Amino acid sequence: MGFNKNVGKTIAVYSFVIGILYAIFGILEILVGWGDLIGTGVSLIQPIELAGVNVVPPDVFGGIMLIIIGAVYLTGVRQQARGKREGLSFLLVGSLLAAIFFGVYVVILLANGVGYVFQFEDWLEWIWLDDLRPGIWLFLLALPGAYLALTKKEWRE
Amino acid sequence: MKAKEILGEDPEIVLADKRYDLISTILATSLVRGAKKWTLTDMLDKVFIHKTLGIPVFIALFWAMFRFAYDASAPFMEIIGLFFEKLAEASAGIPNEILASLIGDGIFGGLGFILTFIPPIFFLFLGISILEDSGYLARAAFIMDKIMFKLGLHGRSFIPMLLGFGCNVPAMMATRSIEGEKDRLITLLVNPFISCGARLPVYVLIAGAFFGSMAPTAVWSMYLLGIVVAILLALLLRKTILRGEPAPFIMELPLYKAPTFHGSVIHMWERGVQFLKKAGTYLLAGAIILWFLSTFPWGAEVELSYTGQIGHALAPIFSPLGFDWRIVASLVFALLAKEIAVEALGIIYAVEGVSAIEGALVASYNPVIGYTLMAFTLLYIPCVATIGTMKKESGSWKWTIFQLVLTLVLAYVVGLIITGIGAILGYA
Amino acid sequence: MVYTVALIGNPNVGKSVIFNNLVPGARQHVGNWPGKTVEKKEGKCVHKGTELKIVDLPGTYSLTARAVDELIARNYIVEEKPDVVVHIIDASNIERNLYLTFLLLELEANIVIALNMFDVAKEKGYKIDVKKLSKQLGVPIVPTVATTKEGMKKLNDEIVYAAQKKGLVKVKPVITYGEKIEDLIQSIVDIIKDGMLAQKYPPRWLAIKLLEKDEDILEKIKGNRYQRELMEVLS
Repeated sequence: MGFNKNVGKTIAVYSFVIGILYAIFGILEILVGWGDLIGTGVSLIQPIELAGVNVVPPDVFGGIMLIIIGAVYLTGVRQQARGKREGLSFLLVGSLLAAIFFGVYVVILLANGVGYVFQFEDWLEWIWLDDLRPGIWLFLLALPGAYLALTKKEWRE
Repeated sequence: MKAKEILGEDPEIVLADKRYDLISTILATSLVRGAKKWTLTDMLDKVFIHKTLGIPVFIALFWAMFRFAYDASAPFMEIIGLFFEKLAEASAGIPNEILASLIGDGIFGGLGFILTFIPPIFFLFLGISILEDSGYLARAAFIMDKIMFKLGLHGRSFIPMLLGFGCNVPAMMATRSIEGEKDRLITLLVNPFISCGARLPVYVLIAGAFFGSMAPTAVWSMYLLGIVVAILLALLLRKTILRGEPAPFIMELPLYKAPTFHGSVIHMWERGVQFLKKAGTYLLAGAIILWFLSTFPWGAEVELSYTGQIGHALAPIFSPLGFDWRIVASLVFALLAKEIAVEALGIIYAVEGVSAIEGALVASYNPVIGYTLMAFTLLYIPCVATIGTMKKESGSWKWTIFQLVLTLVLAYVVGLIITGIGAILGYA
Repeated sequence: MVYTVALIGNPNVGKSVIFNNLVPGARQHVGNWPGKTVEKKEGKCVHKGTELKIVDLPGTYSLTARAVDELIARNYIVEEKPDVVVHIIDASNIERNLYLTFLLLELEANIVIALNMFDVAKEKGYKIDVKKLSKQLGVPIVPTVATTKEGMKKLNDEIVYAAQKKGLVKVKPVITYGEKIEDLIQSIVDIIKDGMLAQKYPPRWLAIKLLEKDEDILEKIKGNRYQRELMEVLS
């Protein structure tokens, strides 16, 4: 089945949701991290915790990057809704970026794990769950889209 | 009978046009293009070279790469550090006292510290290789070219500048692909201002001592400062002594392809090995020289050693910046390799370990001097390895010496500016 | 006897892969071009009893005097005069690549073309009439897919054949640039043809470079007795 309006509308909704989610968590990371950036230690909103684990890390630049990923997803929505295959590019690249950030954050998590195992000074108080940031689990939501964009070759005709 | 008049245009252009004409004619009969398939490359380029998204995506990818390079390598730096620490401790058992000190403090201590920087430099080069092998780096250079052109730089300067964040030696060697001698020269002259991996330990040490939670921001500001100075200098050179427009940038955008682990590791190694060679030679020599100059006369206190004497001799020149003999001495040694500054400060204050050195720094200086020192380290004379590379790549002593003087003067001037601002803000 | 074979082509056309196909890793030798910091890869191999020395020239889009790599590649061809120059072309980007071919034809090198990445061209929907193209350019063309070693045997054969043929058949320029330019070229050739440079380098090539105001060649004619006459035509 080629890429037509029906398929496109579903994909558009999906892209929209993923895009908005990335953007929201990006904004949250910025708000939480603002204090660190300007050195006051007081952020614009309180750190977000779930069962004692930090869900949204304070990271202004990381947050900006999440917003960028969201922007890529969102840019494709209109063309996808119209059944234009060009819109798929945005789904593809958005997925790629999401995957790259996922990969980088996972590698950093593993590296931190190494530091913890060796009991180096900087890692004594490290909790691995803290490193499970939005950049990682949001990708799991983005995975179906990535899979479809890569494998559905007939959509590219 | 002038060529241009006969042809109506510059012969070079006419010849180029003719060649392209002939190519079209020939291909018209021997090449049949099928229906233009919309390839994966076309799809990806729609976003990567998008008018508005192109640059944000660029920023995101490079940010991810730098994060990977510096954060994922952190524990491995500690592992290497631990390894050399153990070696240094073991060598304390060597019967001959001087030899024990040479091997323990000089070689394992000094060189070992520097080798801890292998992980971030190699990880960075790995990241760059992956981006390069995938085909994205060509797009990045293409995007940057528009901006770089306005700044008087050539699009092909992008990759050498990028490599500079790892080590300036392979970065300067990469300028060979730049057409146009002037473009290449400007890139060479300006490259040392890109903050290489070697300067990071100095920033981290000083920022860690003086700026607490703002330390990362202070460190980033050095990178930013380096880029800004590089750009301003390039513009200045363009307008004055290296006048002219950058050569046109024509580049093939290769097809995207998934980078292979094997291939990328090989590319990483090719560049990383330059840093290792530098380490094996200059840094080793530097570590030994530093050890010698600060351990002799044997048994004397650091201040009375050769190191101390050199520091005292040069200190007056730097007093407007608030640098005392200790800082000056360590800066002199950092000429061999900027990483050595940290080690040097440790020896001069006769303390060991980063926290101890930080403590010593805070006790002796105020934050403004600390920041000035960071900026000075960023800007002043490049390390010996870089100077050597400059001579090799530029092929002239004239430009190499010019670079030496330029960097020193710039460092001093910027240092004065920072000190001045600090004074206005109330620091003595 | 050992034949020297130079490999040349645009960046990213698979030149390294072909080099690795021709020369096994153990027999490769990496150094520097004399006096330069550009890497030089070379190696020896044997094909059908003939020994070949393969030299990998830097990947370049053209052969001007403006870039170090290009000058190295060009000088190697024109000074060392290798027995064969294998020009590796990306079949899926053939227009861009052919520019370099023309420059090599001007250099009067003994060319064999490896039309590489033939699979990618096919995927793109290209159909290339290799025989016709070969006739129009006047050089042998071998389609290859270096990554799967397809066509490598034929390429090896053509290289050896071309090396043996060299100098036996006078290469006539197949490519001409139109009356006006050809007249200019001829008038320049007439001026320089008795000079020392024209004995060392192909006169037609020199003429074209002079027309293009090539820095390197202009430097070489400095002080020559025909310099003034030349400058009158050129400027």
